[in-house]
Amino acid sequence: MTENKPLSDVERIKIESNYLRGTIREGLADTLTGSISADDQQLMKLHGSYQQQDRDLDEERRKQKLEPLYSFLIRIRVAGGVATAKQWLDIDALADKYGNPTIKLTTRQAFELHGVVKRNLKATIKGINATLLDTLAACGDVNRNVMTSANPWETEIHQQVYDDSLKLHTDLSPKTTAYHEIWVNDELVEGGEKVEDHEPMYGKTYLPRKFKIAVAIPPRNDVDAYANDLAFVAIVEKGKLVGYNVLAGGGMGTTFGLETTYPRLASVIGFVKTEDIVEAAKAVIIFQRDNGNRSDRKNARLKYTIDRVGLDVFTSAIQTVLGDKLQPAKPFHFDSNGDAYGWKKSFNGKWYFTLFVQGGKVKNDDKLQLKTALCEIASVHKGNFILTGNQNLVIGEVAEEDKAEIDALLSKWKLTNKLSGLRLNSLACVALPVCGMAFAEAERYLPSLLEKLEVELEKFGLIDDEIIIRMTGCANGCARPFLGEIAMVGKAPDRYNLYLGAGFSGDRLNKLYAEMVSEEEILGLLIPILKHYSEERLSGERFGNFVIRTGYVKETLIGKDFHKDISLVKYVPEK
Amino acid sequence: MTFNPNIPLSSEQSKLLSDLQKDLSSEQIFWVSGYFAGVSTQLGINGSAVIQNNTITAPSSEIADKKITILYGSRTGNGESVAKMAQSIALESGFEAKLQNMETYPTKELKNEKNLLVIISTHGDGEPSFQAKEFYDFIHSKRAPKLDQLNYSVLALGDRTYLKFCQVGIEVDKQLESLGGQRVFDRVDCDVDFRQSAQDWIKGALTALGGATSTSNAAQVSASQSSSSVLEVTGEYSKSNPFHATVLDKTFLHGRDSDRQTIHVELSTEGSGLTYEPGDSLGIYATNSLELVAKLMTLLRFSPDTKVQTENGKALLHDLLIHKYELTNITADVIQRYVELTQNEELKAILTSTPNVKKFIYGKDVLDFFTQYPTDLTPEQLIHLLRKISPRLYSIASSPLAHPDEVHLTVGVVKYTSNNRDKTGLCSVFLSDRIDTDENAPVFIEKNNNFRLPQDATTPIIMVGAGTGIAPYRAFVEHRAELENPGKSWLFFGNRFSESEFLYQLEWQRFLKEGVLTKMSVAFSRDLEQKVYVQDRMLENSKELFTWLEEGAHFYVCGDMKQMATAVHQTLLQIIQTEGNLSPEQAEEYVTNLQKAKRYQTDVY
Repeated sequence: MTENKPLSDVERIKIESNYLRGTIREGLADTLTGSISADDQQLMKLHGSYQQQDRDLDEERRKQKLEPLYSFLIRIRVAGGVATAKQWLDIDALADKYGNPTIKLTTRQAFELHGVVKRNLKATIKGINATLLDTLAACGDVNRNVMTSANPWETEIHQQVYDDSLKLHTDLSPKTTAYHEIWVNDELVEGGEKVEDHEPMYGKTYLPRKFKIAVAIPPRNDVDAYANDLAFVAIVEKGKLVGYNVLAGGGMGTTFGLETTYPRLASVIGFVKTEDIVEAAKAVIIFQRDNGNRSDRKNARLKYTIDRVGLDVFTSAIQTVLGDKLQPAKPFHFDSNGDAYGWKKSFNGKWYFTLFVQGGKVKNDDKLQLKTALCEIASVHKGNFILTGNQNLVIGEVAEEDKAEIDALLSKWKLTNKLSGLRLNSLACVALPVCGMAFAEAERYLPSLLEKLEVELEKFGLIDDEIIIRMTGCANGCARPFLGEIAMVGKAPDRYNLYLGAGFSGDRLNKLYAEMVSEEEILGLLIPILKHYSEERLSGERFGNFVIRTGYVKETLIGKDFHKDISLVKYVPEK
Repeated sequence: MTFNPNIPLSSEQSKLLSDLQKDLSSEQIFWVSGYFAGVSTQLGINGSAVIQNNTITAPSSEIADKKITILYGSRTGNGESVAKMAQSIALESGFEAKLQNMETYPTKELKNEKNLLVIISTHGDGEPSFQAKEFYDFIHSKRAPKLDQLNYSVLALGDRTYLKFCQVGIEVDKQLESLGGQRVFDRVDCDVDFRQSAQDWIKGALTALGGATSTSNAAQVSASQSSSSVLEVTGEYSKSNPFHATVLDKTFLHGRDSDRQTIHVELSTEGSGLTYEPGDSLGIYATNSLELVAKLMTLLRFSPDTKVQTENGKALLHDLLIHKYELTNITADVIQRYVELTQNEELKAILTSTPNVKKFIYGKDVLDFFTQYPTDLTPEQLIHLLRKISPRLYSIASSPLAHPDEVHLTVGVVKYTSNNRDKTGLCSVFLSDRIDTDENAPVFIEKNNNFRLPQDATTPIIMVGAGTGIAPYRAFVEHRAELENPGKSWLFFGNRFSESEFLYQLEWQRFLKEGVLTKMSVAFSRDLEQKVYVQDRMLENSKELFTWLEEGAHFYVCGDMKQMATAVHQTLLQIIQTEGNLSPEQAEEYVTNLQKAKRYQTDVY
């Protein structure tokens, strides 16, 4: 396995960190720099924060004899994506006081604050904890925020599924006291006997790599279950939740030029009863903890572990741990991975409104004062806010008598304006300027590309058609690009790899169609295909299926074949 | 003066002499008297009788002593350089001339002095420099001796932009007289452009002192030699003969979130022969903005081709305003001349009160002034009213060891709005906006022996600076980085915002990493809800700071006087008192001893 290779440096950092302490406290106290040490940056992820820098300013600041403009992203775990109106207002206030001041709704139902400078980190994280949310394990080699199908009030089943998600969230959280020691307590507890910290499940070195769990309720796949290391799919029989199918080994992240890296959809390995969900999760996590590759971080996710040992070996190992608790999988069906927008009535008689949020970015700009609008809504709203896996927002638990007031505010702030089906199914990651991994723009750029495509969609009569389009600044996959019917993955400034042909319900990976293409080439390549789609699609045929049927790309059946059967096209402008 | 027919001059010669006398100031007349005395001596005649009647101040008969003490007290190197010039001329004139810094002068010797030249500067609101403080206090104290045998003259150094111009010199001059001293030559008050008047004073004063000894040849020497051999060595660049330094590079140091700017300028001194040490300043002659000059000329209704008569012939008024006259501020002396010309009652009233003048000139430039007080002026009158441009001095931010043939500056760019107009500082905006890379500016080195690294490179140093006050420390640290085995160094730096105003952040980080800088403590006042300043960081490090002092560290303060230096001084006293278990008086004494040992040096403005 990995015995002969040296451990990756991140493993050393974790071992030496004394359960994630490292020298974070000292680093925060150093006023000569806005950064923290490279080792601590790795540990900080497990505390929910990434160090970033405004890459737009790097060269300018070098000339100014100033270090890069460092700041921190803070990711806030929101179990099942459910936040109270008060929490919304608190997070909004923290963004104003310490952030840049936008709020990003992530593709995994978390809040992100950006642009928090080092000296404000502690106050911000402390403020987040005061709202009863936290940032622990929001990033890093550990189980992250547990995703759950949005709106737990859609049916009674949703409420039970949400409760199970909370159990996973709590039981799989790290137990280190370092987090509270560094961020929440005012003073280090001193004097008493030295308490040896411990992590009963994770151990000193936590997991080999990030670990993502989602819980889905068919037929909706808004959490993109297949893209997770571990997913539970609710199985309902005779109107009752009987348990969950267990899916393992999904993941998006790849590295350009490394064919040993590939996106993979989670494999169905069985079924567990509701009461066994935590035990099943722990069995999979522990297998990955002990068998994952700790030498090469680019081959460390569970998806590679499973493909290395073999799915059957993996499954029987889990079976050994769980015994009879792991039963044969039950049939299920997803029909979409998007959100259902607008007003819907909940099983308990209350209303909820699903709101499209472009790129998940809550901000004010010339066109839309979304941040102000949501604050105004939050200040009168008696229910909840639910973050969806598609960077959108549900205004939930609206009583019949309050609906008109909320509706009036939505109209006042132009949040009910009609949008294209393509836009409503778009995702984009943060990318430039702050993400250190981005090669190209995503969140800042996708809206303008959509505008150009919408002009054509209007012509082709496709303006209302739902087509999943995703854009990321790199191949690490934050906005799950390899599940986009159309996807652009940044490879260089203003250059993207163009992928086509994923399944509409998140059940099939896409395929590379063109490499290193500019906006002109993207438009030049896509517009004729969209036209073709409008003219020759079969009844109800999805765009992703159409491009495979008509031969634009080959179907990707399994992750290992992602790099196979590629025939690249080049855009030749008409003269 | 009327000439009687017995004097041995032709009528033409009489007329020439008479005409000459009309144009001469009292000092000049005195100098001329000495000059002719010298000439007559050289000719081997007893010429002193010839013009004896014309002496303005009769030297007391007792001054037959050739011993002379030249006593100086000033913060910048100006006083010292004038004193050295005086010593040099005095020595060549046959005096036994002793140079004394007031800072180290044993005041008990004052009563024994017979011939004394005093060179003393005025700072801030009419205060003596630290170096002169003890002498100043002594002569004003009850312990001050009778000075009946003293012949003296005072040269006052100052800056006319300050209201109490040369106040300390005026007071010392008066006090020496009231102690019984004989003023043999009238005090001369020098503005920042002091060289010519200082030279005149030296010649006059030495002549006056030597005049009592009939065989003195002082006048001859001073008249024939001083101007060429001592004061200005031909070809050497100086304040009066600035070098045109090429701008190698300019870069703004503030990040884009800052609403102010500080500029880093690198100038080439290659081929100039200019040398400097860390602590020295660079003087720059800046030019005014074309826009401001155009506005002023329009306001005063001068056409662009207006010519003006100057001592060097006719010149374009426009060019003179660009190059020669201060326009970006208004000073009391300009108002004074304006009042003399116009008899403006309102301004006359303002001039009687120092606080009112201060209030009046605050934020005003020449354009504001003439907008508020319009009057018809000839170009000559305008030129007469205005004050000559002074060079601006900036602490040098580079070490000659680290950057041979270069001088780096750290300049706060002055831009503000007052009286509804956007205003800019003369030299800072000249550097930031009006001069480009590869263009050049007239510069000279201004020595500052009172802000120097310790002689012994292993001595620890503590440097405290805010804003552009960090400049000389960059020179210090760069310099020590080039030396063998440098001692510990600790830099305290304060500014407003850490992200955008951490001047030279990358360089300090590198110096710290390399160990050239041992420790750095920063205070950014606007970063946190509670404002913190350098003195707060000093207090936080109270114990360690005191330990460094006990280990012999030199302590430096550079930057704004009002905002920072006073607070730092108080904090230093507090730290010494607390950490040293001393009484307030003992702490004062501790600090005074640091100052006397030149271990506590300041460069504040």
